[in-house]
Amino acid sequence: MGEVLLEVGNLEVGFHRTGDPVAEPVLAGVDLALEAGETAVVIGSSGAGKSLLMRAVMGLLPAGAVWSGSIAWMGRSLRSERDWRPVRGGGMTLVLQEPLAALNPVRTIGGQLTEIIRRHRGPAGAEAVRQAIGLLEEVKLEDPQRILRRFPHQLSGGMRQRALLAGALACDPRLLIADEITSAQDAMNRDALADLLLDLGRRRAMALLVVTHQDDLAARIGGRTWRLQGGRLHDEPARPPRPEVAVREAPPLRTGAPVLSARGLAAGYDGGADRPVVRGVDLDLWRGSATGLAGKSGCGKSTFARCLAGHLDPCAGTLRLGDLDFLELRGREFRSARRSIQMLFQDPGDSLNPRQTVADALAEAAGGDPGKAAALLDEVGVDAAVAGRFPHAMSGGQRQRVALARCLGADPMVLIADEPTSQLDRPGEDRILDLLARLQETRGLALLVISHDLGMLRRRCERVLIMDDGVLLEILPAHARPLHPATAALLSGEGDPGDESPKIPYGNELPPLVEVGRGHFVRGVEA
Amino acid sequence: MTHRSASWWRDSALRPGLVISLFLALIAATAPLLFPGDPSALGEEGARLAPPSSSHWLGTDLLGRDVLARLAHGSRVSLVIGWLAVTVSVVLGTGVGLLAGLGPRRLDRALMLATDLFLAFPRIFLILLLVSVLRPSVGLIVVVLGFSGWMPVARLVRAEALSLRERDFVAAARGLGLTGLQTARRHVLPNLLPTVVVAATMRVGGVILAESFLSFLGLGVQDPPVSWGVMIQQGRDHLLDGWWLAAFPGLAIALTVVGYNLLGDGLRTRLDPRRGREARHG
Repeated sequence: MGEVLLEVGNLEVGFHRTGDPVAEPVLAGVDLALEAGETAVVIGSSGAGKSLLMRAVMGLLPAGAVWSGSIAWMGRSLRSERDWRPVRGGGMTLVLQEPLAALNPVRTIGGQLTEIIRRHRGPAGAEAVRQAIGLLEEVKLEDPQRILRRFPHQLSGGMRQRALLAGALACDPRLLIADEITSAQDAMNRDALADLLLDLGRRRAMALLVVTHQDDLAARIGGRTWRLQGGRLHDEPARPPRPEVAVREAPPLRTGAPVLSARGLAAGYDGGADRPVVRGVDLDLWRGSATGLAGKSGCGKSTFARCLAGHLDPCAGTLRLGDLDFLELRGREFRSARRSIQMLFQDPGDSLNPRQTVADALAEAAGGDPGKAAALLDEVGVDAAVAGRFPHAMSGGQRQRVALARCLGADPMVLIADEPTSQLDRPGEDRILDLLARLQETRGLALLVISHDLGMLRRRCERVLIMDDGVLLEILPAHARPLHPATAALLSGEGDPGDESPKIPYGNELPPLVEVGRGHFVRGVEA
Repeated sequence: MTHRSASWWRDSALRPGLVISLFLALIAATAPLLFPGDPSALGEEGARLAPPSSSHWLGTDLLGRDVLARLAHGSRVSLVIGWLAVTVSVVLGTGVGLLAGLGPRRLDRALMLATDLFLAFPRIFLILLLVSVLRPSVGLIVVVLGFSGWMPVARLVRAEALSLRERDFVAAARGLGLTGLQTARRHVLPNLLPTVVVAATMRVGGVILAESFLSFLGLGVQDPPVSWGVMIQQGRDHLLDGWWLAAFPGLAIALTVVGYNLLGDGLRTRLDPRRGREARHG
């Protein structure tokens, strides 16, 4: 310890533009030093030059880029390809964000791993296979024997990222640079990968340099943190991780007639009536109340939401909207009733028609009335000047608000928000959630917020439904302590990508939901 | 902004494609001004089958008519047939493709079966049959070529519509209570347009080629009016003593096909949204 591995001094990187001899610097004087075994984070928004910095450090700058300053590895200055070659791999190694692009698609994971082992460690054949299995175990991939025989496309995104990490570890590097390796992963995978990196760093006494735009990840990795801004690194004060659930006062439990009421709802995709994605779901939504629906990705949350909003016909169950039997409505009656149930989608980049202006979209939502656009934009806090714009000329947060304004144009009673903030940064997330809370009050909306972030849902909703494998496992008043093991796993943000949670077999009667406290139901436990 | 417009101008396919197709359109539009008079009227007695010279740049034909003038007037017929037939194909194909892509699954299966049957039917046989039964005319050629070319467009539009219908903004439109027809018109069709425009442009060259082929066989346009295919047919018997009769219309056809293919290719790259995003970042 204490030995300086990497030292970067006054690094400037720029590009030669054809016909323009002056390089425009992207990095203007970066200083950075890393000791052996140290953990550090470089955080910066997209386009700040993070990846360029890492490529410069690895001596892998793209054609046309020019650099000046000094880069030194263990006291030796790196100037040319010849200096870098012995350092890459065993010295420092780079793991990139696109695992599918970085792996060879036509070779098995085992074939690729053993080749790296042979080149960097020496052994081939059975010994190399044994070491490859060890590496896969080290990155916490289950059933490594099977994974060795898999091709990259046969693995999930999280598994590929880990396989790639195993490849990097095969060189036994002293410094591992992870460039945005979690940005394509959901929150659970992201946290699991972060913990894995920290664990690897500790056990191998390997220095870690984690590059990301995600504040959450930076906080979880901890260690020394720099922010890359304006081409320079600035020290970033360590920030406390997001506060754990600040539980609200017990809210009044709703009585009276719900706005939307589902009973025994089951749904699946074509030809899957015998293997439904969602089964036996009961749900009541009341005016002016917020309900959360939590579950890990692929648990059936979105399928259920699509059913409620009339985008998918359920294969069993009933759905009542006020006095109407929603599933029996046809034609004009159905089209006018469904306006009462609006859905806010996850990806603001996809939920607006790219060839329709904001004003046109809002007029269409308001039933052809162009006069409402300004009031709707005002209600979601977007400047009326964007009315003439197309979606591509707006930020992600603005788009999501415009999508919300479009929902409001239909004057809905129920608003279903499916992961409404997963594509937004933290301030954007808070703004949307605050906005939803306000609309719940002012418009008396019945809100259903869907997310994998149980902590957020408990802060924002009166009660949270926990779904796994298409079945509700727990109905949790926000103030109550979760009881079902799946809820606890969700709350701690754990849950390995390879983790196969206990499945409830098809065709069996579901064990009943048992009331264990006021408004608190858990499936399959004794009261 | 200047940077962006410069980058598309540098595009290898779009620029020559635009230049060629605009040049052809200009010739077609100004032919009566550049070469006044009836291109089919008999020329002077002494100038029959004259090789290219300073008075007749591309020579004269058997009846002493200026080849260049006929070529320019012929471009009007060839281009009009090309664009009209493509319009018929595109309208028909887009309609069928939209119905198949957005309609119920059973309709999709029926329409795609019909598309496959039409594709499998030897098109040239159908054309020959039709034009030999009916009296060949510009209108008939347009209808025949248009109706025999809608299938690839239908397939393309169906595939595009199938992916568009899964987009959130289409679901949002349905959620607002729009009918299927309204959703198709306001949300699916505008997003299909780039694909359709590229497909249409790429087909123009092929249709002009098909027209000249028919005319060459004597089953297409009947002189007068003059089309490029007609000119090649008339030059067929004089390939040795009057090579310019067939060679120049042949070159014109080749230039047109290449021009429209380049234009289509360039437009495809240009209208690809992924490339657009790249350009915005760069």
